[in-house]
Amino acid sequence: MPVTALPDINTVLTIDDEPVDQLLYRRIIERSGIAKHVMPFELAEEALSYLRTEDRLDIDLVLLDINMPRMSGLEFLEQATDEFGENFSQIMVIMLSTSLDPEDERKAREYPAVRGYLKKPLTLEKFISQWQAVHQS
Amino acid sequence: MYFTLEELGLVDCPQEESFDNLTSLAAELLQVPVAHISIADQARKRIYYKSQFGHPDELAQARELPMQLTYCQHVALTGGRVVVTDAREHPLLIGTPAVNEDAPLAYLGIPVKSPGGEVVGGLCMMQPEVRHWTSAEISRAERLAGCVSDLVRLKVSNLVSEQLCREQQTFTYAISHDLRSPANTIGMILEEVKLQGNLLSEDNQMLIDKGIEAVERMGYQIEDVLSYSQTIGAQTEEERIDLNRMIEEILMDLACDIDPANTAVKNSVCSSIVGNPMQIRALFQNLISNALKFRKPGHVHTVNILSVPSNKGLCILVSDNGIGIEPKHQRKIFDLFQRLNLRKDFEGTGIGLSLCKQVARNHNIAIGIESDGASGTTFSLEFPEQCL
Repeated sequence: MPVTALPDINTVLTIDDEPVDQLLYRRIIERSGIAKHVMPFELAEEALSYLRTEDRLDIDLVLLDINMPRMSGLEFLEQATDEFGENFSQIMVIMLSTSLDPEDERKAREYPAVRGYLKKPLTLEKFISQWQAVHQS
Repeated sequence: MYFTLEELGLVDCPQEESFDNLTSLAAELLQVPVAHISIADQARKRIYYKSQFGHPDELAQARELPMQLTYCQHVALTGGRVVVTDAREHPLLIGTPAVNEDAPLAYLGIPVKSPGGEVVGGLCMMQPEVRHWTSAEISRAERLAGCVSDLVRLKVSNLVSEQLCREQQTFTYAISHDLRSPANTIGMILEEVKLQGNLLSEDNQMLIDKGIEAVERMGYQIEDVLSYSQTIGAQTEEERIDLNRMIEEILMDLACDIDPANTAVKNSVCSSIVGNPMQIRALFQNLISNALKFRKPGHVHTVNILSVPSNKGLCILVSDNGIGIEPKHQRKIFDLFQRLNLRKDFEGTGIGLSLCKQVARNHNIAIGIESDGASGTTFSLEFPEQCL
């Protein structure tokens, strides 16, 4: 796999309430060599408050689960778009979902930040090919 | 979906008030001595009277006539209304065996249609004497026939929804069953790998453990989905339930979740209600185990199950002093698979309250929630009079 040919990015946020999935995301992202840092959040609300902090890292990519407690991935998209506008839309968001409901995908794709939609489970191949597609467009 | 006339309850079936009301209304409105709703049973070459008003005793008993002896056959044959001023001169009837000395001279038959537009029969009005039907009278009859078609539509809808419900139950059962077997296999494989755990890095040993946990969780999830699917669709086997006893039994089942050192549970309900025991049990079981589960760490936890006066019937509260549910989250708690907490804080599949909602709906129980999001939660169940 042409891992070394890919451009490096700095920081990926992974937002998913499942700790084991988080652990596997980190492994896959590290193996891909695409990003330097991975920041996991188990609740969308916590990721939102991180986005609000002033001296936060520049975020290039967000991997976002849909079905999460309290605030769903779709609610997160709505809130973040409202609050940060253009600043949020520049971040690339890839949705990660178990949801088989095409309506969820349609809703997610309405947000300009959302560049990709992946069905779980995430694998190294899926991640790299999605990243290439997202990054080239 | 296709249903036979018999499945629809249009032939060889008891009389029904909803149809009879329209028939007698037709007779009154058009001032005729005889009216009926006739169903054209082509397979058996007969006209069956789903509803009748003013028929002579013999016909009222038989509720059917061979097709060729009726005027009504022509409503089904032509697919349109049949307006007869004088049967002796009407081109469809003249010289047919239907016109005999007992037969009415004037007749008005309006098609009754299935939701697909097929003419299944007619709403028919008749009188012994010659009559010129005015366009206003015909229009009234047509509007009533529209109501009869609506009743047929309703019957079809009911059958469709019953059928879908049955299919959905079978489907969920099959799916859950078929999911369980690969889950079991994965579980066994992981246990096998775990036996050789010492060959793996610590990190990978941990992953195997997480995998085993996940498969176990899948088992619970499948069981919950299964019991949810079983409560959908109203099962009507109802009996009188002693709530105090049922709640005590539930508390006994949940005993391992209750540590007497830091939890106080009080059940002061002594009413009895009428309902489906399996469903009502699932309702209380879920509410009570939630009340026990969502406790505040470091607090003495209390759970109260009590009945309070209600003007509608009986109101039962299940209340706790746990973590509560913030008002902004309350509207989604009954949605399927909706969870408000991380698994590491509170286990759960997100099915329990959806199931409660479904049981409540089946029994016409109003289920409500009250919480300020900080000092506990109270669920209320308003049982209607019919449950008492």
